[in-house]
Amino acid sequence: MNARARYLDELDDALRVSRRRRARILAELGNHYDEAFAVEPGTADQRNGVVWQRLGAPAVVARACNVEAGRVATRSALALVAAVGVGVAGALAIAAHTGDASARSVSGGWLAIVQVVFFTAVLSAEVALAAWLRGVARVLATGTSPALRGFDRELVRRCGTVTLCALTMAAGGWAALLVVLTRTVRDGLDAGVILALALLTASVGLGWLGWSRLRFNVHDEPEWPNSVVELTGWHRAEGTLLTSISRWPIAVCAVMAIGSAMWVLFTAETATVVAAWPWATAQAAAVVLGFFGLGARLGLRNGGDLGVVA
Amino acid sequence: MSTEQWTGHLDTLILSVLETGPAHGYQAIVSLRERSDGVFELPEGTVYPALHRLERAGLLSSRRVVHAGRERRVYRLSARGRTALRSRRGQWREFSSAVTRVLEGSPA
Repeated sequence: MNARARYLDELDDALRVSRRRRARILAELGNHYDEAFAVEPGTADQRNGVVWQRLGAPAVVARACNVEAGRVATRSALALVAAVGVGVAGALAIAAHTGDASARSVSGGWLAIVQVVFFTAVLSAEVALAAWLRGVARVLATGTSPALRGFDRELVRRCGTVTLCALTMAAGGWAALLVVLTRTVRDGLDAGVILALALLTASVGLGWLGWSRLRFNVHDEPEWPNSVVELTGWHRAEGTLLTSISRWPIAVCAVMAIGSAMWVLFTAETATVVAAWPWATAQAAAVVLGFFGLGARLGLRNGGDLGVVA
Repeated sequence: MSTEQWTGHLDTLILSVLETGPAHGYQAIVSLRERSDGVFELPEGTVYPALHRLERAGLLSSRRVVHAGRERRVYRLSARGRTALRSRRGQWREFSSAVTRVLEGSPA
């Protein structure tokens, strides 16, 4: 592989942008490489060295592209979340209007749906909490700083967007649970339930879309410098809480997941407490494992980059 | 001059470079380097996201052209970009003359 191909290959690996944007960046940088190489004096090795140095390391260029793409994604994700919020609000209103107030038992296919929706709702709530805490800690840490640095603002904005997306998904999930659990299967799927479920499905789907578009964005964060502002006074409490969540995510997730599971089980009266335990345990385990995968992907579990100086 | 001191003005500098006529990325970057006598030198690859940002904002337009068998993307200043450049140039003159007055200690 020649130097040009190696440069573009490394750049390609480090880019976290859409396929269309990636193709455009690689084409432009490839052209740039050729143009610069053609005019530089010296041997091929020397010319490659100069061009490589002038262009900047692939990781540096990729990060600039990722950050720029992240800004766009964050803006559009916010608009998406606003639209999703309308969907969730509509679904909740319909559920409240048409729902049977009495709790019902669920079984068979409905139980599977409830489990999937429950998992989505609890996991989203966890991610929302972690992102929110991270954003708040950074705001508090930099609130006393004379100049809020660009990457601090960017991080807070991204955490806010992740929080909104995750909250939307959580709200959609809980609303779906209410719809499913407060209707009798015997009643069948009347128009109100069908509409509510359709709205909820769209809400969760769009929320997921907005959220997933932030992935490449958050990946860049661990490499950003930490805030140099030291937390003082009661601000240390947020730092401690955030560090605790980062250090013992299992404990935090398990408490949340089991608490949520029990709340749903008792509210839904799906079964006796004894029979419900295996189900609740399985749900809690699934949520904890899910958080481990997703939390790491979203950069929410990196204790070294919490913006907190202990 | 450190990169941090002038990268905040990168968008304006790119608009200014393209004011003289359309150019592809490499030309614009070389022009930026030459017109600043090498002072404005940064990883050239990082200028492309700025070009894309300006295009998205409607200050630049771009189209693909084939030159000597090679496909290039040529950037051109839009009418909106021209207006923005005029405004930013005015703001910069005001700012720089104020800074100069303060630094050199001369009365306004």
